Amino acid sequence: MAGVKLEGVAKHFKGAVAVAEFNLDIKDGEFLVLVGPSGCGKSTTLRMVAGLEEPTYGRIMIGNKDVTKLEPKDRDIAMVFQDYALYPHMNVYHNLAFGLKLRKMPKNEIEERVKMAAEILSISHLLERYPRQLSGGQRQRVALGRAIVRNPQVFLMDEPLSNLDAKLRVQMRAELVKLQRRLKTTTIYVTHDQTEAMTMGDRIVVMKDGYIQQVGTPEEIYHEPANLFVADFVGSPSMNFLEGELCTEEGCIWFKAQGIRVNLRNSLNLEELNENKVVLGIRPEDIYLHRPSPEKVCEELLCQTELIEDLGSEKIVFLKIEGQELQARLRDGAAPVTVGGNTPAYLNLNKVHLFRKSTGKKILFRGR
Amino acid sequence: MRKYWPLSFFILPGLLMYVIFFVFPAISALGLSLTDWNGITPERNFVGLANYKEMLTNDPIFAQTFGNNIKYMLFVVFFQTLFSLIFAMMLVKNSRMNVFYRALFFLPTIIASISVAFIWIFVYDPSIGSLNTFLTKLKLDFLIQSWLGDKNIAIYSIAVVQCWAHIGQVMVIFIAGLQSIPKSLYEVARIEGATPWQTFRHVTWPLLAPSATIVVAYTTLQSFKAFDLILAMTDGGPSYATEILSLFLYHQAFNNYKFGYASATAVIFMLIVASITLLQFRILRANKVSY
Repeated sequence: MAGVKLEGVAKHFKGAVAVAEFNLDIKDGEFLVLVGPSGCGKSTTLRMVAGLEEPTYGRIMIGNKDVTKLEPKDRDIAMVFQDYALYPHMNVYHNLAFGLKLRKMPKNEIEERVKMAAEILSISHLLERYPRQLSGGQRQRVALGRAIVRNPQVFLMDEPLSNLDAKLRVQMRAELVKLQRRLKTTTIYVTHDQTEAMTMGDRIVVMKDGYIQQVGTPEEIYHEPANLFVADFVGSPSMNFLEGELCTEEGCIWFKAQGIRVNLRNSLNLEELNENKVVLGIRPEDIYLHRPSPEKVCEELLCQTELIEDLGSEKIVFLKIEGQELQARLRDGAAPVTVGGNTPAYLNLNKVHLFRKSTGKKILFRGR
Repeated sequence: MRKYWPLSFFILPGLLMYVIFFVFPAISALGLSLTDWNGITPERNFVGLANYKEMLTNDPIFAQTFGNNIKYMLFVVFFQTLFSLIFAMMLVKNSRMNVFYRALFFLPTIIASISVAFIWIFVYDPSIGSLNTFLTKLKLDFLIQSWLGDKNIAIYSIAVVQCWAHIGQVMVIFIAGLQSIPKSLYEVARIEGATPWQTFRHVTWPLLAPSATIVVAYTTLQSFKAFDLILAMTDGGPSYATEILSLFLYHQAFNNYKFGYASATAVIFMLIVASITLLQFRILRANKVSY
């Protein structure tokens, strides 16, 4: 087992920057998820670790070995592809054994390893079948099996679940995490699905346009987004944003937008900020539609209820205030609201995020 | 189905052409093959299977012709498939340069075979031909041949021309086949440590099997039915060294006026071609790849 280290790794394609300077230290046994919209450079980064793309700059280390110039086969990695990449003319057994045969492993050891991997993934009964005779989920398992049999230092997974249907994806998600915990193999996992990232990763790297936006645990990413992009990308429904200005009145910091005034009741040095155009962000679950308990410091806003989406265990309420839209998430049992009426909405001020409008960067409150 | 029957009139023109120009001649050839018709006089006598018996047991030229066919076919199928595959693998990426080269290699396919024949007659000319001149320049005089005049090599000289003319066409089939193989399969092979030869042997070739079967089937038929190129280059000579079945039946009918005998050859020829086709369809069906 080994960790992976990327030092100033960049990839340029014909002058276009796919990945700008990427620095990251992935710990031994860690499950790291690279997440971001398509074209953000996450797959390119993974492919550079695999050795399928050569970095334009930088250095990649696996364990203590500099692998930047090594061929993929010499890096001791295994990769799982989105389309599974199973050989259609080989049955499951031979698909699993192919890499081992190329490495001239003795036949009985190959057999043993294939059997073990098949058992771990419960595909022992499928060994004689061809990929075309398997369901999507089974193919996915075979693709994982091919990675496992090699017993590599690092697993690289490029959107391995995105070809599965929603239900199977959720199931495989959990299985993959359990498998990784069991094998303790360092894993780099690429996905565009923030739910996958949040549920699977020990740490998440959020990327956009080739740049790392934030690195952190799922909790940090969700509760302390470093910028507007991360705040918007992570969470479903995503964070509410109100554009406005900051000003000081009566010794307090206020957020003001057209017809909206929020007393932030917090200390910020506006001069230090030297910018008063901001975006206020708040997650849907931090907006309440009934008066919360007094220990929660809230600001009350009068909104119109436009639509309610009932998801069973929770309701998403679409609100409108002075032309700006907000979504509130009500847990089961929360007071029912009616569509079309006015309702007070309470913003939990401890959960409010402020971002600079110009750069999107988070503004830190003092004392938080 | 009943309400669609008026639509069947639409296939009538095509069907009529097919019946007049294919079914009818084929059946009448079968009838003619049992006669001694000379093609000119109205007189024809029923001779039973005498033509077939003569051809299969007592005609050394037919036997030689058939042998030529096999030689020609094997040479063309092997080399045309091999080189078109090599070129396809070199030109599989859709770069601008590759598209240009593909067009260049395809060019001979669209030249009329008579023109191809005349180009190569010049190339092969023993005294002024560019091939021998080239060999002399390279001081390889010992390789100089009478390319179309030597009965031991003439058939292969023509087979080379056949390959040259059709490699581009076959290459396109291979390129399509290669491009349909998912890139990720090659990447897996690379990660698992396959050498280029192992990648070809275990990934490319098995997945190319459907294209290869089409190519081999097509080339076999194409080379078996070759006619115009040989007619224009050697007309079957020297001393029947390049005479193949199609040419043999042509000569029997239009030079020797043995229409009955020629028809019997045509029937045998048709049977051979039909059985090759049938066999290849079977193989093709067995070689399907589904991802």
